[in-house]
Amino acid sequence: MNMDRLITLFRIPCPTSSATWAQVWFELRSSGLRVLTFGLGMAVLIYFLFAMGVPYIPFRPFAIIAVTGGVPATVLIFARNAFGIRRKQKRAYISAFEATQPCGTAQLAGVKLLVRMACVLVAMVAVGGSAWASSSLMKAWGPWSANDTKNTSQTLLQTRSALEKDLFGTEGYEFALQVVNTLLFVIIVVAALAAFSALFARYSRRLLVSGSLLSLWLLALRIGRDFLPQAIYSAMPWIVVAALLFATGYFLWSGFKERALTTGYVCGAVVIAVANAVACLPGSFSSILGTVLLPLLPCVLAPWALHRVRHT
Amino acid sequence: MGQTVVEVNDLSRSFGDETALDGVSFRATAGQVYGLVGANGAGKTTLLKHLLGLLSATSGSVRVFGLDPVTDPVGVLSRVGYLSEEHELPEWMRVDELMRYTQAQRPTWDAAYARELLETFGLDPARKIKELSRGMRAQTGLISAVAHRPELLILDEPSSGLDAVVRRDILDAIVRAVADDGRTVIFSSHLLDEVERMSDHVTLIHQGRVTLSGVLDEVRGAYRRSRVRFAEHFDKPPVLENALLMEGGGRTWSVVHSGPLEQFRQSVTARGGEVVESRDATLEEIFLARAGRSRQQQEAA
Repeated sequence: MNMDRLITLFRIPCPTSSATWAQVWFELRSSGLRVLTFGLGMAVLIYFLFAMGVPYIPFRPFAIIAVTGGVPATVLIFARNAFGIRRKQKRAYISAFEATQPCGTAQLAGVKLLVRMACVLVAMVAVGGSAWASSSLMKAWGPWSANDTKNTSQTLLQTRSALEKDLFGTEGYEFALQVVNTLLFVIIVVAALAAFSALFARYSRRLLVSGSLLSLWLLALRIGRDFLPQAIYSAMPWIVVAALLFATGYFLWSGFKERALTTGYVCGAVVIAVANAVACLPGSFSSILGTVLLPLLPCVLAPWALHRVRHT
Repeated sequence: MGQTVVEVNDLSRSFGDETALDGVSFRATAGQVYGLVGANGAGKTTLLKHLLGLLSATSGSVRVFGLDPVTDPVGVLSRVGYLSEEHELPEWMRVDELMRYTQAQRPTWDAAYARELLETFGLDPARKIKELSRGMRAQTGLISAVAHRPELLILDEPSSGLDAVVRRDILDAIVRAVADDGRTVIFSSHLLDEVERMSDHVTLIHQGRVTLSGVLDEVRGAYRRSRVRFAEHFDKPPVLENALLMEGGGRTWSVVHSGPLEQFRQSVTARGGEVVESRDATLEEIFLARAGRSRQQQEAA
């Protein structure tokens, strides 16, 4: 059974009562179900590897790799390109079918990002839950070889216990904060990767030049630690905050001017930004600004970038 | 004259060093069918993409229903039906899913009309788009473009992939029905007989410029093809008033020309020749002549 047939099993008819729900259905069917199917597949694979690790030792390293790489892979692979940008003959574009639907760019971007975030989160929960449940099977693993004096399985179980204490040994409020932080992390990653892919599609050369200049600047800061004035390093948080503030301001202004942004969309982005600041509990004024601007910038940039690709 | 639906003024667009559109102006009014003709790469699709807001102008302006399609895509696209040249539809969708999705996006969707067209084309609603032939995809795309009864229907090379029967019987009927309803159709084609059959207005685009535009009957009435014979032998085409294209050699030449026949006859007589035969020029002859003239002007410039 191939991936396509598996997805077809989840056939849900397209709702016709609302354009927004129809778009949600479209996003789910075109890419969302693929993410969910991968997440579930990964969850099953992790359990399988741990279970096979009981009688067959060669499976054990693969089980550990699957756990340590599974969650980051779910986020990084499936959080990217939420706007569905295609490439053909060195040309990047979004399909004319989607671009010619009577839907505002902010609404289109919002639906695409939300559906992708939801799917990535569900996939992450499935992979993480499976990793947690499956790793309890390590109790039955025993030593990895005759020379396994350190008892690898025991060491791994101890790590698991420590993680368990960190995650579930916290108070209800702290645990809720961790959940919110994870949620916000996924939102920021999905929005940032979507914005980046759209920007890269439209301004690949400029983006490469900017990236190179930024790398050179960071390298200069690293190398010049001994001879550059300390004031530069002290001012770094403010320089970063000023850059974030300037960029966010510009994209807000330009987004509203080109009607790529709507008040509703920006209000949603501001709520996410404030939630991030509350969840991070920053100390200084610059870090408060930073935690507000860090999620706000990609959330504002994403529809702006989509607008530039939709209307080349 | 009907209400202005599309107004393009001095539109230019470049892709890198290549100029795709160069100072194009175009106007379309309600209840008319407009045919855009030109060779591949002439700029027809680029112009249509500007009307849809898929491309933004380097200079000049585009207004559809008085709105800018780039800054107000919802206002424009909710009143437009579009069939792309590549019949670009999501391959994973089934035909019925495409219909339902389009219905949700378009409040004016006419489900009975969509069903009728599906039956006319003999399309199976349960089939996936990726399983359809090129012609079937074109038919599916056409249904989703017309079934919400758009005020403006934009068809980019609609006949590509359609067989002759569907083209002549169904496409023509759909386009005519849309225009008779007081709505507007703009389509691009490189098939001159199709443009001649379907359009009220014709616009020739050549190398990014509009070289000819007008009401079809007026355009046809304004050009003639005449056979002329000279007493003298000419190695190169002789200079004749209003002549756009001259073919032949020696004493006998075939000339596509504009203006009244009498005026042309006088011009030929002045060069020591006579008009042996004259008839209305076909659209193809006119377009070949105009495209050639445009090229000569560019070379001279």
